[in-house]
Amino acid sequence: MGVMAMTQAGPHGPSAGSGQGSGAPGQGASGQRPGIPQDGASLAAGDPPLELLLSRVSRGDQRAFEAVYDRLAGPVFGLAGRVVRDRAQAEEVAQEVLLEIWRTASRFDPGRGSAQSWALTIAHRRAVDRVRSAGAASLREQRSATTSVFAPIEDVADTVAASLEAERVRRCLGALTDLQREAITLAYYGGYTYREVSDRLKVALGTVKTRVRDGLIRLRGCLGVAW
Amino acid sequence: MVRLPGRNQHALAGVYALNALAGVEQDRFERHMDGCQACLEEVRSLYETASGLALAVAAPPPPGFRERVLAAVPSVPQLPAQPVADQAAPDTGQDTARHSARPRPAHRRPARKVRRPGLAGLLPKIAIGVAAVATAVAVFLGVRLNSVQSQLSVSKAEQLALTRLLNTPGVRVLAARTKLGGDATAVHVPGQTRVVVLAKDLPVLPGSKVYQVWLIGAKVKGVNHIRSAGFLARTAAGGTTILVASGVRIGDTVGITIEPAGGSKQPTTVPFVALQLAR
Repeated sequence: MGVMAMTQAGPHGPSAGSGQGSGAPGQGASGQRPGIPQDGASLAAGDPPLELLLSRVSRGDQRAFEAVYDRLAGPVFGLAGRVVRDRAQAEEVAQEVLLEIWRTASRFDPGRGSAQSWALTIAHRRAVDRVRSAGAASLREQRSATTSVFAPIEDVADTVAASLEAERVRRCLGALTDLQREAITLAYYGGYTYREVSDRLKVALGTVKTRVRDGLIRLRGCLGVAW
Repeated sequence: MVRLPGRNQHALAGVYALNALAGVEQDRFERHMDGCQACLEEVRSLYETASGLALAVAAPPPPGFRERVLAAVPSVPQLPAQPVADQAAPDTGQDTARHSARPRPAHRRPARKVRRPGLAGLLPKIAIGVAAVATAVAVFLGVRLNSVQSQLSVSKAEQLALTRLLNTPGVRVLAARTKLGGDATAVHVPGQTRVVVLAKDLPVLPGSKVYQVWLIGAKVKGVNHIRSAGFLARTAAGGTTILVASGVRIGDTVGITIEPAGGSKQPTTVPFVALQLAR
């Protein structure tokens, strides 16, 4: 069935990009990004809210989906690349995620959070599922050896130096303690479970748990999330 | 299995929001969250925060990607409007990835008209075996599941949630005729956080409107705390929809309003039906 095929992780054979040492896909790209907003938070005032677009999408409106695509493709692809660390797989994941948004738009409930958060949570889950699936783990380990996941701030800054949103996130991450920042970036961008984070950072599980939560709450305050 | 005390569980909200819990621990936290409104709200807010981390690494997809994705769209069938049911994770409203990945077989039964005595009177008589659930539920509620209502796919999860509730000692069934016609029913066990809401024969809405279900808290200092519980699926005329909502608090009333498509953060009109759940 088409839907099932789409929702399953695709083949995760090793790809040609496995020897790359330059970090996540997309990071080497120039600052030019045709057709893609620099970030979701600074959209022109006249743009319809993502929530409204999703509601149109849920009724089969393909034009509305194009607008959703233009808003979300950049973050979805960038996040997928960041987590799976392989350009080909990032494309697969991003495509799955965007079609998943089309498929499940009717399930979005504005009473439970923003559309952006809904979509990017789907994207993160998909990317994490991919990176944790059998066979992917060892590949990731190889890559981790050559790409420093311990220098997340610099990476973030390099990736989207032009983006105000990125700048804001970079600043907010910088305001965390080292341990909070490392634990959060390993878990979110690295796709590691908190047990793995505990192993890698050589700190107790309970410490990871509390540092991640404290760090996120601090980030929330810094980023000014309205919730 | 050792069950962590609630406080420790709560501290997992951060790692959960980053998808950094797996397996048993994830399941356990989701169960915990089912009865912990504070956890649920924290996780939601942290999802918002995490999405900021995603924006920060936005990167342009390769050339041709947009065309490929848009070309694939027409061949991907969309899910009908139907709230995600069961388990704590969907309560975040952010869990479509996990849940919608499962196919949802519609349990359609031939139309079967059954004499319907008072709902409550029927309750103890229902023999519940999981296999018989679809029939039992259909009969119990007078639900006519036929091809016309194919968009009413009573999912397995919804059936299970309803069955579980109906099997619980102390279950209450509240039914009322709505001001718009049709019936609304709430199946709830006092003290539990889940409620199953059924609506039957409501007027069919234009595409620009939706039925949104609310959990309306008891007045505290003159203010009701109102939370969205989701939307009723669209049905053909005479259809029945089921919604499984979580996060019920003691003293809540279930209300339904008509809202603009996409829903509202807070109800924009007075509910046309209100069911005060037993404490």
